[in-house]
Amino acid sequence: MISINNLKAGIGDKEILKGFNLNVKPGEVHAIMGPNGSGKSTLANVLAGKEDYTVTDGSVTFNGKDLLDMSPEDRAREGLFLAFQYPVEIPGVSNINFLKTCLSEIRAYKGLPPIEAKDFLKMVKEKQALVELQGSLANRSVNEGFSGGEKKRNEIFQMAMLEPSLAILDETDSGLDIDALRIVANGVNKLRDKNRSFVVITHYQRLLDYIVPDFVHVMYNGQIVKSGPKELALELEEKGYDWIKKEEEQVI
Amino acid sequence: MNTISTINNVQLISEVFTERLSQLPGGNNVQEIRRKAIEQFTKLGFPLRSNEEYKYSDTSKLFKEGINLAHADDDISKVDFNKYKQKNIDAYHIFLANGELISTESDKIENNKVEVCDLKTAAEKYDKIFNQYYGSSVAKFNDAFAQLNIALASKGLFVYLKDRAKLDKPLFIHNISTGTDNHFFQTHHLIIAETLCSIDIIEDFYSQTNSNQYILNSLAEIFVKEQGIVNYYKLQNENENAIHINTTHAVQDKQSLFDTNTVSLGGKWGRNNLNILMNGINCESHLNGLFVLKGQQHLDNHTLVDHQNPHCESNQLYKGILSDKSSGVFNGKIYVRKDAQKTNAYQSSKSMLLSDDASMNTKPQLEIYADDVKCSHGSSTGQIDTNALFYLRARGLSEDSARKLLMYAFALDVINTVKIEPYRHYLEELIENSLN
Ligand SMILES: Nc1ncnc2c1ncn2[C@@H]1O[C@H](COP(=O)(O)OP(=O)(O)OP(=O)(O)O)[C@@H](O)[C@H]1O
Ligand SMILES: [Mg+2]
Repeated sequence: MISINNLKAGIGDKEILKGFNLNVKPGEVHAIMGPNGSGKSTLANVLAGKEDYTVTDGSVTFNGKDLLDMSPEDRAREGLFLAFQYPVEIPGVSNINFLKTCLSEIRAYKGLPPIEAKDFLKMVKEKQALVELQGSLANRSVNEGFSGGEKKRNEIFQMAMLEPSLAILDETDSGLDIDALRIVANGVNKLRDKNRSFVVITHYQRLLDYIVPDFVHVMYNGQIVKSGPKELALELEEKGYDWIKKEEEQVI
Repeated sequence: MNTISTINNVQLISEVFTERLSQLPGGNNVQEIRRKAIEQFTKLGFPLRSNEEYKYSDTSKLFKEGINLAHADDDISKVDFNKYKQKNIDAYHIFLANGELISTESDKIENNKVEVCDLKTAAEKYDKIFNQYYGSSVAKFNDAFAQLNIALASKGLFVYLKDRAKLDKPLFIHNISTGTDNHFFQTHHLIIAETLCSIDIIEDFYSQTNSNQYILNSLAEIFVKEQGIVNYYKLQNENENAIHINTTHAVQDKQSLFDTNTVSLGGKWGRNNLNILMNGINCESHLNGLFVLKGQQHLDNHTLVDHQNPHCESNQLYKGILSDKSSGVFNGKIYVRKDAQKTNAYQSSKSMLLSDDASMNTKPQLEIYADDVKCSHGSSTGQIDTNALFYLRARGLSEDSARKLLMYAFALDVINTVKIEPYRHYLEELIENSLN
């Protein structure tokens, strides 16, 4: 699915990703945890193609193609999706119209005819139900005036509409109450299949109770410093990150 | 044929005036108004940068090659009027070519409370009203173009509503200009809505071809009497050589409503003066404007709202999207006179600059002499929000579509003030195309 090799990237002179490696196979769910500022969102943004960051070294292969060579829109069209940690409010752009335009551009890219209005509406209804997003929200401007939880749910709704092959969820659980967390997790679980992969960035074990990962990685200082099975998350919850930081510093 | 070769020679224009005066519509009273206006114009001359009101819109370059005051009516026969008729907008479509009413192409209004005719007819058929109103609203407006228009205008539309008339469909005035080679011409509309009358007016401006070059100096006087309602929508979509100068001057009597929406897309150089005089208590007015400029286009929007009476409200929202080397001006004056207590007057001007070479000059001017009022103004100039742009692209939208979507979203609240749905759809389409 995606293979990230020795990725180094930063802003200006500041290096944030310092040789990051990760391999995700189709159908797998990988969780990335790690202290604040370790570079998790930077990784997500670099993969999605945010131009503020400069990649200085390394490579990323996505479904056999050179990801770093593509524009952000082509990455999305190739099946990459990023649920943002801080979704942007865009007044005046209707959620639904925007998604419709997205779908038709993605389909055009793949050489498919535009989606029929009827099929589109059916799809909207279906996916809305999946994340229990109120119809009125889908018709409003993108994220404008949405509560924190509604924004996160809207991200998952968009993901469901765009049916990516790899979804990166950047702290989609933060700011969610227990019910919303369950709804979002359910939405994700329903989209899990053998061809679709997820990278779930989170600080909390509680999300991983619902979305059970195949692997857990700990990111620190721009790198993965520890990987393990899902039980690693429990250990982190219990012990915090200090022991990992110490281990790391000893190695250095 | 008179060709005036230099702008400094306003004297020549005044000679043309003397020559034509006896044939211009209107009785003695109007002739007197015209005479005063030409005097005023001669004093003012074409405005230069030194004139504070034209600080960013120097006109000397525009008239470098002189202006041509000849009548150019002969080529009207070539105009394909059908082309300009927005067929899916259910309205009374009225066509003017170079200001001349083309009756054969225009819809008839079967309503004896509503008169729509040209100025000449009005000056004869409604001489009393014509003589009472012509030039009266703008006589004191110290603007060279407005004065020149009052002095010399012979063409334009007379719209008169009486006996509580409510026009059932919008009146859609199509102005088509055929002039070339600095042809300078003027239209003057006189619109009067008597007590309790209401009307929606849409006015659009087009050039006959995509390159014919002319100077249009248009003026609309609008009188909204007690409890009258006038919604006035203006669309300027001329070719890239056209010079467009417009003064719209509304006088509101008590409890009247006057809403305007000014959309400017075309033209090489444009100036809109929009003046609203609140001449009675409890008046309300919304002034909305949108402009999309590119290339070397220049547009100057001047608004003036004069709150002379208590309990009135005015609300302005102007937005501009500027790219390439285009330049824009928004100058919004609000007077709140001593007696105009309980005034609400708001003004907001926002622009989006899409290139480093585009520029926008904004100047709010609030002069408040009453103490119990709510007034505010705000202006901002910004670029496209790069975070929003990235967000949209990360969902698969091309950079172009994403930009377009954001520009359109920026313009949306102005577009949404258009209450006539089919006209709004028409505008939406035009604006979308102009954002390409
Ligand atoms: N646009 C930026 N400009 C400057 N510094 C940045 C920028 N983006 C990230 N950084 C810096 O890079 C480091 C990593 O930030 P990042 O947001 O990737 O961390 P994170 O692991 O996602 O943290 P959190 O758990 O708090 O979300 C931080 O020190 C941050 O301040
Ligand atoms: Mg983060």
